Amino acid sequence: MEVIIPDTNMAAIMPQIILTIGACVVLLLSVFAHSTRKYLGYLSALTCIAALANTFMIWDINQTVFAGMITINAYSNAFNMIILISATLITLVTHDAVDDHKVGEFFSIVLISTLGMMIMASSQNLLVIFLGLEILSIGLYVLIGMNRARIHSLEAALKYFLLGAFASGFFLYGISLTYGTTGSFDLVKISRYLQANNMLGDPLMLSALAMLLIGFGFKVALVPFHMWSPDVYQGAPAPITGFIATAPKAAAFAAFARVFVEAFAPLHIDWSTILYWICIITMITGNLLALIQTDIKRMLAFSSIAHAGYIIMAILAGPKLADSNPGLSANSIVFYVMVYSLMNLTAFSIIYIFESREGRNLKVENFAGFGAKYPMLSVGMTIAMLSLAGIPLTGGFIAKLQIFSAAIDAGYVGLTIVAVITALISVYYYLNVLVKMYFSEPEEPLEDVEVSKATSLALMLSSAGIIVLGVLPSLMMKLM
Amino acid sequence: MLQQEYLYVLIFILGGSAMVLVAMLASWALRPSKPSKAKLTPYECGELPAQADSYFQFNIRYYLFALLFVVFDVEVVFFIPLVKVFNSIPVVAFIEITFFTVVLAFGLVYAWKKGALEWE
Repeated sequence: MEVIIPDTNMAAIMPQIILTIGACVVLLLSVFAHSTRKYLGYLSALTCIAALANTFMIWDINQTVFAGMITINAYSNAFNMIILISATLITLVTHDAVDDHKVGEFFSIVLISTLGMMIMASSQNLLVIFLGLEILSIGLYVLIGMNRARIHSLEAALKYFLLGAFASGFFLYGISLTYGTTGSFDLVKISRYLQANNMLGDPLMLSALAMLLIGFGFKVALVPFHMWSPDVYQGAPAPITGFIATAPKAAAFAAFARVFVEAFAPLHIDWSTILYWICIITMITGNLLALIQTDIKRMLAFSSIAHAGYIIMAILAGPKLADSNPGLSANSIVFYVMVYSLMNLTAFSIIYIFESREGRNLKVENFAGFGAKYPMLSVGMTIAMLSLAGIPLTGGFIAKLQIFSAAIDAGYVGLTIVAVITALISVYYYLNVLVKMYFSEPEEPLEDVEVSKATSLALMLSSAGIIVLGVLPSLMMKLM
Repeated sequence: MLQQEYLYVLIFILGGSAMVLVAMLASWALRPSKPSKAKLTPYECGELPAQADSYFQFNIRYYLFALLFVVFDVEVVFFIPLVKVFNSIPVVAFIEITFFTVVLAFGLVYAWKKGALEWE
């Protein structure tokens, strides 16, 4: 029997291989060499940095390898970069946060779910996208529930697991219906088939679109599939919340845009109407519900729902811009996700520092007086909040500007007006945190808080990144 | 053509049912009949059988063993086709399957070292 081995290019998946080896080494070191346990966080951060460096080395490769399973190009590399930056910052922030007997499991699971995200972001095959999605989800279920002593953590893990499994089912059903209609898992072949045959309004294809939309909508937390997100954000340990809010969303948006903008572009009329309304209710619901939250993590959860709504605008605009300005939609998504990751990581890391001191979930009013007591951390929080609100000179402003201009170019003026109005509403609750921090007196005297060197390095890098992207956005554009 | 293929399925179903029936009838005819309470309970591997109320605690170690079983299971699934074509595969495929096995072995070594294989 003749065996045909597909074209292999190990160099193209070297970042993924580095992460796999790193995860194995971390796991084995934790059981065989107990004395290394306090350095495993640093080792994981180094693994992520090595993979990141490797991603830059293969930046110019543009090819599809392993029989169409893995696609490496600037787009997938940009998302891999975002995912790896998030993972690096999270491992630096949490390097001393985990109980000694769980540290090996914790960091190897972080590395493995990062691997899953990278697989999801660098594939154009629906089955491999699903594989990546499952690797990352299973890792996250464990990470959320890792703190078994906290009932909220367990509740969050169970909720995320049950709803996540349900959403995976929808996603898989969507994949099988797409296969049944077009005869392929490969997004390029699907796109070619849809261009050659008029499938508009085809009932099977419509059901496939709906199923895939539900699957993706759950993963990126679009209204009405967002119910899990506030509870999970609130229940999970803060650094893990920072991780869930950023890297998996980057991976999910990479695949979302790839599937809908590249493969399903010929069916734009079919899916754009429903996505248009989902986008509007996501922006409105996210921002309005964030207004009334008192718990800061819940507030940021609703804010990240609203941000997902903004990113959807670029996905909606994508197929319409395919002829006039092909790169605009993808570039604005990459830029937005990059800035979004940095600002959420900064905010959640700072919340985590205060939470681990207080030993409980923080409310917005608990931030009173922090500006005078913890000046450096407050500066980081200020940068994150201003950027989330989209104030000029921060990355958040440029990111919103790009998304809105892409939407207007594609003719979505009404949508952009809704987005601008909801963004204005959002300024209130972001600035509310700053007002509490700088203009309110604390009820009881605040204690000192210790920040390790690695954590402060991570915070400095991420908040500097927000400013640099806001002042010199061309740095990021050059990469694309 | 299609009907003929379904005919095979039908033959298969009939043959399968016949084998079960023959085996059960033969054992019913041949065995001595001495029922006892323990014999009448359904068999479940190493555990108390399922009861009317299935919400009772059972040993969590079964999960660990089941998970470790999966390690070997997955390994076998990939090894059997590999053996079939071993002579015709290029070196890179051999390296890939070795890497895969080593990663699986790491999992087993980790579980072993953590004491998952000990039954107190």
